[in-house]
Amino acid sequence: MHSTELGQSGWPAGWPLGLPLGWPLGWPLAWQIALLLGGALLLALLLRPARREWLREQDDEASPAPRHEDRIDALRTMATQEFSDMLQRVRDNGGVMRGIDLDGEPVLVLGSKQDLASQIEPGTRRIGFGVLTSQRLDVPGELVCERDLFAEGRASVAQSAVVRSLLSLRDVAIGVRARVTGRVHADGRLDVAEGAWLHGEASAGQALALARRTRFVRLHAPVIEFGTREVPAARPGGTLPEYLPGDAQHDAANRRYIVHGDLSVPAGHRVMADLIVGGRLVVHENCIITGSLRADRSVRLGQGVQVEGGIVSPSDIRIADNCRIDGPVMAGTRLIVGTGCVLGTRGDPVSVSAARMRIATGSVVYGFVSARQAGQVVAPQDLQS
Amino acid sequence: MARTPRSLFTKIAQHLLSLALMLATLSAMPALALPGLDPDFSDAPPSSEQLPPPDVAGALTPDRTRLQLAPDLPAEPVVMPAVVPMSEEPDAATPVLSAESLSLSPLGVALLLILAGVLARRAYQWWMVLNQRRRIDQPDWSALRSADWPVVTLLVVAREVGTAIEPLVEYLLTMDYPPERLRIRPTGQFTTAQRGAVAALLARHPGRVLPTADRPLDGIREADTDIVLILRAEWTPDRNFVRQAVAPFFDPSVGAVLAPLDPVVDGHPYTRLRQLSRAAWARIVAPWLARANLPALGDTLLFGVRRSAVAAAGGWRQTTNERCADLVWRLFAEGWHSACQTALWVSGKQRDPQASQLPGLFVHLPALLASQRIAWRQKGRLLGYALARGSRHLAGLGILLAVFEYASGNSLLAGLALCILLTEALAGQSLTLLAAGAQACQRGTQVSLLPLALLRLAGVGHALH
Repeated sequence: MHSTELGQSGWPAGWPLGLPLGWPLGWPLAWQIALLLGGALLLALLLRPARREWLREQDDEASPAPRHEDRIDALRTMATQEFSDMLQRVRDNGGVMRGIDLDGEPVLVLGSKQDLASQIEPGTRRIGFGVLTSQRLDVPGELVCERDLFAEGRASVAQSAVVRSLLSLRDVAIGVRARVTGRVHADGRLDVAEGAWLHGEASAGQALALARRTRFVRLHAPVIEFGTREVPAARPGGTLPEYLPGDAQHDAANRRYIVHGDLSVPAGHRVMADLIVGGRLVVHENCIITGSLRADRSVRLGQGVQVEGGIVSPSDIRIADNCRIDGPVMAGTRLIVGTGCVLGTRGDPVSVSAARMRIATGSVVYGFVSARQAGQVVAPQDLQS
Repeated sequence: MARTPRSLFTKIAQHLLSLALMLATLSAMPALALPGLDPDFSDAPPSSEQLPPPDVAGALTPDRTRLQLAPDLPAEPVVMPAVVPMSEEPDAATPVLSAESLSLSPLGVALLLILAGVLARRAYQWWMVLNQRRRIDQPDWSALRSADWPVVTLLVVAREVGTAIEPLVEYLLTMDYPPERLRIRPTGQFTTAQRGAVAALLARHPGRVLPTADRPLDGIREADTDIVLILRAEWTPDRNFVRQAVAPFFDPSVGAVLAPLDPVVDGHPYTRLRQLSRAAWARIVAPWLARANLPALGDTLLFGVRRSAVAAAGGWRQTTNERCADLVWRLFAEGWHSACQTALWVSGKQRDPQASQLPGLFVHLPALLASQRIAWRQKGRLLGYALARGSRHLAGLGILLAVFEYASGNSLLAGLALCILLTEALAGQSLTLLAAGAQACQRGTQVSLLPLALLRLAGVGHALH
């Protein structure tokens, strides 16, 4: 039973909106013109933003290279050049001075025995001026600092405070659940308390220590300690038997094995070559890899594995407890590092990068850590969750 | 005014050819007395508005309302058995779209397959556009800031006589790379004055600047480092150039590093278009190729090689025209990947763009498929890639089949196929690239298109950002 009268072509007669059916050439002239105009309008709408973009003379930035140092460099320049006279005056005479930076923003210059809390009204939750001090800088708890902070002495950010950028020529301490929305750098040591968030890059000239439940994006320091550093477990002694992947293509000239599928290296073996695996790579406990690892799917290292090279995977990399990696660790998606791991050495720092990263307390990285989306320090027992 | 690149004329010629093909096809339709142009899809008699003025000779006949722009052609329609004759009333009990009416000739089946292939490829590209922000599953080589950087040789190739080599080498010596691990070797046919300048550089920077080589191949062959970088003297690299070019070599499977050239902004609209296209390509196509472990050839140049890998692949072949593509495919056959480093920025004018690497691929395809060092899954991807690179030819074949389908009387399928394939041939790639450019945020480039903006407003935007 047909509720609608169908034409010979199977379409309802007069569909849609009473328009005559068939090829547009058979339509009334008005409809054809309307169709043309509508199509042209749609095309113009589609291409209008693209045309505007196309007609721009050039892009805004001169270079695409990430300039992580820019803000800190600018802050250091501001303190050592633009405000050097003011800082010298308050250093000699004490007191407080006010100035304007190159962007026209107000800046408060604090001398000796002057703290930030005494310069703001009680109950103030937000300050919109930058602060330079020749002494120690203490940011009160739950205060939001919308401008950059500079301290020639030690700087501390109290509980739940929010700062944009902070530079100290000595040490910096970030309090519990405090947040740094931009860049933080300490020429000495940078300590981050539990639950703090570092949304930008955090760096230190000597060492950087992060407590449990801190979140980070980029970390850079000669030594980056996650939680309390564990004493590394004893390494297996003696000579390990060499493992030769059976079904692998051996490129002897370049010291590498190419495996098309998955590969599992049994526990307590040594591999004297690079491993390039098309599937998943599992290296069981207490193996030593004298070379680098690359797997297209995922890499899993058992406890106590030593890799005298780097690890690269476009997928996940999971490193169990007490491993030692001498080269860069580059994961495409997720990186999990167990407790007691040491990545890099003091003499040969490494880079560790992934989109998401969970590092257990007790591990150490020498060099640079980059979590494009999110990084977190967790307790070893929380690593599985 | 900047000199227009040669490839601009090539592209214009290609589009003109496509347009000519489209016009020829459309003009051929009436001559074939195609039922697809028949407006008599309804049973109702045509209204007076539908009829043309009677003075148009032989345009439409009132009895059958058939379009006949060529009056000398036979008026009888070409009727396929599967098509219900128009003069007969359809049986009310018989469904119009019966199995019989849907039966297709082998030609139609082939056309359908081509249509499915073209549409699937386009849908996949759009899927990539919408999902590429969420799926960043490649190692971020720009994050490699601390490492045990290897000793590398940087060949500065001067192809033009009179290129100022000295300031460039002085600039390269200030690169963000451990100074003791970077050696620079000017390469090319130098004038006496240039040789004097290089000798002065040698004296000023002993050990860091090496004596000149006549040809790049000599420079690569005589280098005593495993990694050799190549840079033309007329290009300007970013200060991170060496670091970014070396970083992918920490992957033990990488034998060569490719990167697109950043065109110099000179106010020329074509240059600007290339810049936008490059940003979109770098965000969409290159990551996809990298995910598939396929060489990102097409709009890239070779900036670095691992000498041991080149030796394993049989060395450079100087006789081939596209030396870089040839080398990259041979490296691939030997199990070496080629990383596309989109974080590597070198600006300059590309005189001989590697517009198409398809011949190189097809030349090496048998060896690639026979290689023991390439997995079967990878070979499948490679075949798909070859088909994708040949999609324009596929679309052309489809258009030809569609014309034959018109002639055979299957107008619905043929009309649909023609619309899709012509759109694909003329604007498919451009539209996808523009849409991809909507998310290209490199160097401040942010192309935006209205539909994507509407999608964001509609709440779909979280997938885009």
